[in-house]
Amino acid sequence: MIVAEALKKSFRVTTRRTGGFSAFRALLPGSTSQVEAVRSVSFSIAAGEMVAVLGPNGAGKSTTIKMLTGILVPDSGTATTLGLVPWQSRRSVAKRIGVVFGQRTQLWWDLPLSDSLDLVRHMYGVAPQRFAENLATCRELLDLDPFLDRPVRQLSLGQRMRGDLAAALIHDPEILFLDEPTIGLDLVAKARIRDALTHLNQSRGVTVLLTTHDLADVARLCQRVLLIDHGRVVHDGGLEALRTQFGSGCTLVVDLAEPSASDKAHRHDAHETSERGVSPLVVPGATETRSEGNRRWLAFDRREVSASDLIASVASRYPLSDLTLEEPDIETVIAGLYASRTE
Amino acid sequence: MSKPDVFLPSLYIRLAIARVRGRMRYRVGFLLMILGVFVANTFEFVALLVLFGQVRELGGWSAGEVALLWGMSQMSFAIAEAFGHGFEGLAPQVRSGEFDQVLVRPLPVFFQVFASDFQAQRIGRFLQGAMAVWYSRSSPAPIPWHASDWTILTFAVITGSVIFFATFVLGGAWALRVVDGQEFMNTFTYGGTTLASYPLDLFSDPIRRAATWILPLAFVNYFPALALLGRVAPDGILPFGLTPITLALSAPIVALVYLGIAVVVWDRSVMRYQGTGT
Amino acid sequence: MRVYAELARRAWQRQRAYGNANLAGLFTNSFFGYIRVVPLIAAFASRPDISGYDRDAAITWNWLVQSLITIVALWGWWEVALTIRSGEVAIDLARPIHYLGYWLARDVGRAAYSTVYRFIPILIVGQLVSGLRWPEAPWLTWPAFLCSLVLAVLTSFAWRFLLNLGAFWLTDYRAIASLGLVATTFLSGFLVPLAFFPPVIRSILEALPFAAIIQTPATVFLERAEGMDLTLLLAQQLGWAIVMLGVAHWGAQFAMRRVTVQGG
Ligand SMILES: Nc1ncnc2c1ncn2[C@@H]1O[C@H](COP(=O)(O)OP(=O)(O)OP(=O)(O)O)[C@@H](O)[C@H]1O
Ligand SMILES: [Mg+2]
Repeated sequence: MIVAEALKKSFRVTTRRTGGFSAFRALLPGSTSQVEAVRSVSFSIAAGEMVAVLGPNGAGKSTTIKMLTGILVPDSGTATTLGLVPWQSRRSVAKRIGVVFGQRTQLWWDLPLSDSLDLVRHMYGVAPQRFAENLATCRELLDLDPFLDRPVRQLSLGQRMRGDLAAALIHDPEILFLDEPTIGLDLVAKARIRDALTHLNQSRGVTVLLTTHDLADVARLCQRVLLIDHGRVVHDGGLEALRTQFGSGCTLVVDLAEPSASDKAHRHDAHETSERGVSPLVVPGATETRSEGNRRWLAFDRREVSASDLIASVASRYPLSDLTLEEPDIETVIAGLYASRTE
Repeated sequence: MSKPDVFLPSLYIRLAIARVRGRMRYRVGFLLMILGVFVANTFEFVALLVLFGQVRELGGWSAGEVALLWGMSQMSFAIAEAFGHGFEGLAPQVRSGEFDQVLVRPLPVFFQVFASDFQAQRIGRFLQGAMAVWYSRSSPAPIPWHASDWTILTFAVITGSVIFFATFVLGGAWALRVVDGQEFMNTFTYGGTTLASYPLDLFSDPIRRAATWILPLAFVNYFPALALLGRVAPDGILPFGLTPITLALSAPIVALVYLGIAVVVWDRSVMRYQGTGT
Repeated sequence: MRVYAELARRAWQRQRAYGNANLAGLFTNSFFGYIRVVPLIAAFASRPDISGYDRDAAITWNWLVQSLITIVALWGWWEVALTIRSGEVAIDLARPIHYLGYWLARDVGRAAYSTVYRFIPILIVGQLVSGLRWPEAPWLTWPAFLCSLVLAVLTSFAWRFLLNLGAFWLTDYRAIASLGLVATTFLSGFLVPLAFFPPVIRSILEALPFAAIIQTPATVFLERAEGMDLTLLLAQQLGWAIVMLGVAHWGAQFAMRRVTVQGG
């Protein structure tokens, strides 16, 4: 369905100068620089898949989608959408895909939504019969009826997004490319869009590639996640696998049986004491990050020491009354990933 | 090629009607807009007449003769603006990224931009231009219209609108390349009509040459007007020493060549846009 | 007072950010200046004097009005109307400063920028292209011209502000307001010097506030009014500036009441 191989795209940006006659100076050479938006992106998506592209702002998600839909030509690398090179067969590809950019609208601003959809029908050359069927499906699926006759300019963001999605569905696309389709929507509107996408994917087999910053979208919709960072795919797999790959930092929370057990056991090397005057637990492969009364938090990396080994070695050194293992949630994993990126 | 299930001319009409209907939602505003365009041009024309109230002629051209040039230029420009405004208003769309939408539709990019903004309100300018032409034939003494006059006039107005339209296309191509370049283009579009509103032989040689060979404004109204008025042009202004009639009749060829160049430049700019994203 | 100075300074800086557009505008103005000066010169081929303007005076008038037009922003200035349309006006009204003063300060900053980056460059272009007539009594004329310029900005600001207020009442204010500005270019002596009009029309136009926007500064620069006439001319311009600002102030109050009563 969609294949990308070593896609690369950089933009030349003019470093903006201000000042009265900046334009004169902008004409001089040397005022441009390269932004590497997409460095090397490869993946392949089979028919009927629903894939989410995640990544921090500026990672290159939108640029990738623009190359796959034929809006932009890559500097190097290849891609095929429906077996065609999108930037070479732009119109043939456009006929068979639907694209929604959540930040913009393709609808006619001052016309009622129904008129906009009708114009889209003519632009795609959809037969009246098929149009009627598809419109009926969209009306039901996206609940368009309450605002079908209102000018697009008067629609709320959520209504407009549903309208845009309908406009992208009028010609029975085989693939849907959605760039942030849930941006700025409330919970109900998000749920409606997600339900519609699930329905399209399951009952019609539409392949969906979407970008989002909302992990709930991913959890509900996609079996597969492409994580893009710095213009490269850094993860390709399930959301859970993302946690195992990047969420290896876990915490073991232990409750000591005696308050100052650590002091008794290791009085001689207690060179550092915490604010309460208790020295931290010393266990190979883990570091204490917090202590509160008898409770201690030990951070460790699963790739270095397994949880069972760690528990065994803690138990062998200190008398324990209780323990729990805390794994990071997916939000934290991704937030950590994004943060580590901004060095 | 994909099957021709979209018939572009009828799609154009559909989109144009949609455009006008959208505007007509504020009927009063729409009519005022037509009136506004009309009055704005009338003021400029009256200013010209005020000047002629003081002098009998400009470089050997009488008020009526200048009015003919003026009216032809306005009529052509009005048609070009009505059909070419999609290209003229492209810069903000490129800036906001709206232009990307055009590239995900299965239609030629040129067609989509062409069909995106039909402006019926430009009829105000057209009517004003027509009135100036009418004035040129009735003042100071009425001059009868011959069939040949009508032919030359109709030819010239259509040809002129193609030339101005092509200039808008070039402006759109420019906007695809240079993000804040629209303002420069105004010089050639609006500046072009203003230049064409006065006898070309008043201007200096480099401007005359540029208006003949680069942006062929001379073919919009100057050569046809010479033919209509039976005027003799100053030395060296007529290319290859051709007669004004010949030049007026060859104007459509010039216009088509110019349009062809504009379309090629446009296509290259679209391709370049796809390479740079700006 | 400091806040207004600061607002003006900001407006100046904002103009700097549009450096390219300004450069393009300079180019456009110069081109139009050239296109307009050529027929004007041709008009003087057959007679040396039109209503007291000789060839040099007319050429200077031409370049002068081309450069004045940006200072007084007659090609359009819809910032106030845009804030009204978008509802931002509520924020502006909530500020603890004078509403009209707020916009005036910004407009003064903009006009000052245009004076340096448009007015002066275009006069230089004019000098290079066709030669200008510079004041013969610089010590009197330049200060008088500067006064006149300031008053022209004030008058034009008040007029534009009033046109912008139309957005409170009309959905399609732009069509009407644009018409207002186009009329202003004609009535103010931008398209043709007011002196060229037939005597009766001329005296009416010279009495209207629009003359204070373009024609008066041009008349002062060309030294076509001297001594008592100059004083009277500037006094009349001052009068119009005060009256127009007063009307604008009243209009703002009126519009504000509407916002506070009807909730915009
Ligand atoms: N037309 C362009 N010209 C110059 N630079 C661009 C252009 N488009 C994108 N970029 C740059 O390329 C990089 C990737 O942009 P892109 O829009 O693909 O990011 P993204 O992953 O979609 O981010 P976001 O989550 O914010 O939407 C950014 O640094 C951006 O500034
Ligand atoms: Mg993006």
